[in-house]
Amino acid sequence: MTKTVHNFPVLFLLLILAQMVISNYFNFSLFVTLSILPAIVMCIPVSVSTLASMVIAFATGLSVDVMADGVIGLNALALVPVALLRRTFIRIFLGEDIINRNEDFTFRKNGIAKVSLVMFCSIVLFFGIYVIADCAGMRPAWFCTVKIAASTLVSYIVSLLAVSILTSKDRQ
Amino acid sequence: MPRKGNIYHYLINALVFIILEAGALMLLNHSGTLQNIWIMKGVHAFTGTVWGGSESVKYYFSLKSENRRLVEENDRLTSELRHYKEILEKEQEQEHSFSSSSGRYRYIPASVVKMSHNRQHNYIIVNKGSEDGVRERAGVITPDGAVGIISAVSRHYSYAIAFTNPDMAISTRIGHEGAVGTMTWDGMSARGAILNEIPCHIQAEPGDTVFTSGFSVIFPPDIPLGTIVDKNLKNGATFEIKVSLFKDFREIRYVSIVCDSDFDEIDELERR
Repeated sequence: MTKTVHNFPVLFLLLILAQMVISNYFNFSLFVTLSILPAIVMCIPVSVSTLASMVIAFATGLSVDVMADGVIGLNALALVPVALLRRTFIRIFLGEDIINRNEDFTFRKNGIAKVSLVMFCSIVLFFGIYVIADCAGMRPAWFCTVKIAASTLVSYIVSLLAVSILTSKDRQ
Repeated sequence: MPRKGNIYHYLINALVFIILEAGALMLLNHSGTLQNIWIMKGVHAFTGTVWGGSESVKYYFSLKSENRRLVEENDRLTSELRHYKEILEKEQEQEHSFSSSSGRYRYIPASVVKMSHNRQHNYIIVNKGSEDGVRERAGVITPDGAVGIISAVSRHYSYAIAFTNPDMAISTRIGHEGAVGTMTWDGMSARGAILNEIPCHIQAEPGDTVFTSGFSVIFPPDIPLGTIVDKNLKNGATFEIKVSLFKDFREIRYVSIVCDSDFDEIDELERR
């Protein structure tokens, strides 16, 4: 049984639910927003086209916005660029072969460092847009910078866990 | 090189991306007050830039006609100014003598059609000819200097020997009332000229302006030509003065052709 066919959609939906719970109940600080959404969008199988992954990302972001009582459109706005650049990040950090062969990446096959780097870039991109749109020009630049840095750091650690769950084929 | 199919693929991706982001922004616009203000600010800035940009483009393309209009206006104002100067001079002359005469110079605005500037014998062709009233030995000037002398005229065009030509000399004066000498091109730079025959007792300092003297039937008096840069004593008797011209001849696009209405009378007198 491969994750692409059976496990992945279920795990994907469960992690979205987890994100809704995080958004609703885990508000640590004004400077930290925890999100695993960029990581789960990056884990969409490589065989799924950019166009489809952008639509999935938009729907995912919107559902979290609606269910998590946030500003509607904020997650969707930040998540679609992650989906657009998903294949580009994979191509840059994990190589062209993985795209050509439509293979999914895993920690074991591609190495923790490279996969972490892909995740890190996607999270930085996500929070770069998220925080700027959330602050809407009303906060000083230092606040936005600190929030992007702190949120990226915390979300990066939690996202590695989410990635290990979504690439669970590794452990089978 | 990307294939045609790939280009369509990228275009569709870009289109969907723009649509989804626009949708997200619209939702954001409606759900948060801060975001609403922020987005509207961004939209206004964008539309301002676009409109400003289109205005700049429109302005750029209208520059040619604007330039032409300004040249014509400049020419008209210069003519008027010279005309009033002449009247003033005549009035001053009348105070001192009993003779009188009417306005002497007529100005014809023209565009430079062709010119050479990197030869030893340079020339200018302008778009006005005999049908416009141009005749041989008329001067070609700009507000910043004497450019050349008309040497051949066809119906619609005129050929002028440029000042950047060793054969051409202009009668000049240092200041409005200083010594008179002959100025020629230095043969090297586009802005360099030499003023000869200035007696050594004459005070001429770097920075002094050189004007046309008006002692010819070609150029009217008091056209500023350039400033004195340096002077050297020649044969112990006269100064050879280096002049930096106001006008770089390579930049000339529009000129005025100046015709002396007393030309024939003076020429006839000289021949006698």
